[in-house]
Amino acid sequence: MTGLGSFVLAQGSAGLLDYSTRMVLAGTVLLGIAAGIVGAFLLLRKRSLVGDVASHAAVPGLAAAFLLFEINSPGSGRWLPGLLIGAAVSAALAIWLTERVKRIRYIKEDAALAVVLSLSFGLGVCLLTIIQSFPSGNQAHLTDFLFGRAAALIEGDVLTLTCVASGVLIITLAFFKEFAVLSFDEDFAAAQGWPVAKLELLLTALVVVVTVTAMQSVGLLLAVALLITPAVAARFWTDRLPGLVAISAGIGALASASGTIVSAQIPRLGTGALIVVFGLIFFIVSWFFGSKRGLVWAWWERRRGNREIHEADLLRAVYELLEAKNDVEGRPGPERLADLPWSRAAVASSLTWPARRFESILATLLTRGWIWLDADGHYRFTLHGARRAIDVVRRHRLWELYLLNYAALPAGQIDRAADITEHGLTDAEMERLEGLFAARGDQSQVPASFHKIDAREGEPA
Amino acid sequence: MNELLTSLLDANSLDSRIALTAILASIACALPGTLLVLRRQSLLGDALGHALLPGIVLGYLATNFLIDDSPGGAAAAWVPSLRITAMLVGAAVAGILCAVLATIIEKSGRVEPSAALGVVFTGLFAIGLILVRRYADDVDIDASCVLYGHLETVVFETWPGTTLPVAAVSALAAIVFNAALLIAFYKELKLSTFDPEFARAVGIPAGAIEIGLVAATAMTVVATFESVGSILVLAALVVPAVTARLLVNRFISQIMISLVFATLAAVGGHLLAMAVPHLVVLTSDNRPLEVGTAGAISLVSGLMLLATVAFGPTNGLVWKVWRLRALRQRVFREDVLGILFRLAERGVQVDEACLSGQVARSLDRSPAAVQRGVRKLQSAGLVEQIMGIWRLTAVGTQRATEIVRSHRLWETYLARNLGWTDEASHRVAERFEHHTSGYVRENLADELSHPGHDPQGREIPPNTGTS
Repeated sequence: MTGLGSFVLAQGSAGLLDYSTRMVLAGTVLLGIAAGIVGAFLLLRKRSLVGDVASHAAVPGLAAAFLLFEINSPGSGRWLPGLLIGAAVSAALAIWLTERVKRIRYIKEDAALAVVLSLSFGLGVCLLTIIQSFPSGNQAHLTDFLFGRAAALIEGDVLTLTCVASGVLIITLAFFKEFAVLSFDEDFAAAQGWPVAKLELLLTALVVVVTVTAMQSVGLLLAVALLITPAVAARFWTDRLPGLVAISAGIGALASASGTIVSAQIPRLGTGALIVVFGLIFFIVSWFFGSKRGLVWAWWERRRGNREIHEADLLRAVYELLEAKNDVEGRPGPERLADLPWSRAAVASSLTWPARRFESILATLLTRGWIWLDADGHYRFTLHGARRAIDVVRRHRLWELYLLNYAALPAGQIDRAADITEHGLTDAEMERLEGLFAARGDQSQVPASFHKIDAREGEPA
Repeated sequence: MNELLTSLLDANSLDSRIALTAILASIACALPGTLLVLRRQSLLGDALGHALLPGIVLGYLATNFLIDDSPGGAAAAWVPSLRITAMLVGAAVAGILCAVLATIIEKSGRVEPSAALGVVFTGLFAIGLILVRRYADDVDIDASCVLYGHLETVVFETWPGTTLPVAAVSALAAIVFNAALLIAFYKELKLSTFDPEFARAVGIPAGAIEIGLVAATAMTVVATFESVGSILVLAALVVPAVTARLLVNRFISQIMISLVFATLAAVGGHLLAMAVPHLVVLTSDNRPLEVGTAGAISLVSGLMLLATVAFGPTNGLVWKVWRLRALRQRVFREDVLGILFRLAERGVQVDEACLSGQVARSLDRSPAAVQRGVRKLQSAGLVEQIMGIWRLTAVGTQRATEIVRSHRLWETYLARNLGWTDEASHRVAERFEHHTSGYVRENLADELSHPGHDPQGREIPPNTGTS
């Protein structure tokens, strides 16, 4: 901790204690939160790229506003509120236009988006090059809006950002229920009488506001990243809406903070781009390690499930081996099972498993206390293990009987089909199966296997 | 204007080189662009434009690193060509990677495809921007080049020994490459675009086609990067294709027409970029306006799209509005005829006052509108005014008879077969009467066994023998 402390204290003029850095940090983090929240809903509405349209289409409005003000009174072109309003108007117009263009015959949704996006940007570029030829062009400021000017944030801008972020937060909380239903079941919402079109409009307005505000930190070109990446990253952590919104906001904030801090340390890299890159990094982390759908987690769950299946299969193999050797009438009960020794070789030969898996699962069963090694070098069930084995076999055979008698599967396929499904049967389903077969009079706890099990080989026929 | 055109056609002039490069770049983009649009993957073009930026920068850096391009160096002249080649290979790889990653993210996270794509391409674009800024001094790319290329200056880099710009050569190479692929795999492309399931069933490797298209698009984007930039390339890819789609319905025509529009956009864009400074002089110190060529090209492209949307042969919005207006007018005039007929049935004399009063009220239109409509009918010979009284002519009577006959037959039909009340069936008959041909009318009459009166007891006018 002292190391961290001295690190912080050593920051000096470019560090965390620096006022301007704190300003920028506050601004970008607030924006990250707002964008994360809105982005979560966009993701669920499957309209993530609306942000792309909004940000590219804000450019002509930005340039036009500059031109208007500049022509009106030279030198006033850089009045920020005017530029923001211009950008917002053209962004909103473009989104509306996309909806209209979608309705034209033969123009599909993706083409409509691409056309509006590229053409409005083209118009913006034309206007930008026109501005370049102005003596007071100072167009450098305008490209700053494209690429971000986070480093130039001042207190007034942070104030604006605070208002925007708070506004987004308040509106989202106020309309959370409405947005939730809108995202998941639009038809239901409409049928319930909720003003779906107005809610959609509200969401779009939020997107435009966030995008235009993002001009100041990450810049227009990268604003869409703030709207998409945190939300998609959050998707790997949770399946619930409040969680998604919160985590998305959190990742947005984290990415903004990281990008800003690193940018303060290493000059000339561009704060906005760094924020997006950190967003990407957090996304990759979420993609792999997210607790709901992360790749690593999914692999781990799959592996665990497979192991459970293998353990059950091993237990059953041992049971069937012992069942064949059993010389007492009826199927062996737990105590009888626990008395009978068996060798690993006999069991191994009845399973077609690779050696490593066999050893590993055998070891696991030992650890769980279901089997134990006796003095003669033979394995034996413990009582607990025997009961477990009986349960496993019961499931398997009831399910096999069901498949044979009710699902009309050919006998040759039964074992394999049963292998896959039986491990997923719940207790309720088991009860129903037993009810089915109680009527047939088979009262034994474990039904007979309809496979012929050879007493000597221990292998099902 | 004349000087512009002559300058354009002069093979040695800068203008013609710019125009040539622009045309070749636009055509090169339109080829894969058409396929993207037809396969509803326009956003892939958007993604590739952004995602390839880091690859492009790295290509620049790699070439600079490997080759000494100081002015005296022997290899200096070949740097642009080598650079392009290196970048093309990198582009194909990067493009495929981008698409593959997006698909993996989409499947593993169960998010929508465009969101998955968005994550990948925005991240890559950000990396590209950082590289551009960091190595701005080492590479010939700056921020504005990223946005819209620098066609005006890139033509100075020529292929060694000729005056042909390297950018033009690379665009030409892209055209040849794309055209070759298109011709070689025409059947497969066509089938997998329009009927993917059938294509798969027939054994066409849809996945390979997909990857091939992504790679080809990526290479085209890189080949034309300096001409149109990273972001405007989307306009070059998509807009001519969309415009063509509105006009033709066949695959091959679609491709050809999109190439035509691409060429027109390039030429028009360049002319616009050249003409604007001459047309407009702004600001107090008389500095001319400048419009970048790439932006102008996309602008012209957009205008052509707009024109097609508005004035396209069958689907043009303007024609649709015009047809709707014509329909409204026909319905209105037929309503007037109907009213005159019914008033005549009751023996009412229709003078100007009646027109403005009773007729206007029952039609729920202004007196002025009724006056206009009646005048139109008069010039069409359907009504006449004799001593201040308006009457149907013989032709007008025939037409009015048909309409009223249709109306009353429909009312009878609805009342008999569906048991509808007078009010409901009247409202429906009011609409149907305008769209009932003689064939339908007489079949209706047959179906009803030629009734003499409608449910309200009014006489159904007889068949006049015309449709």
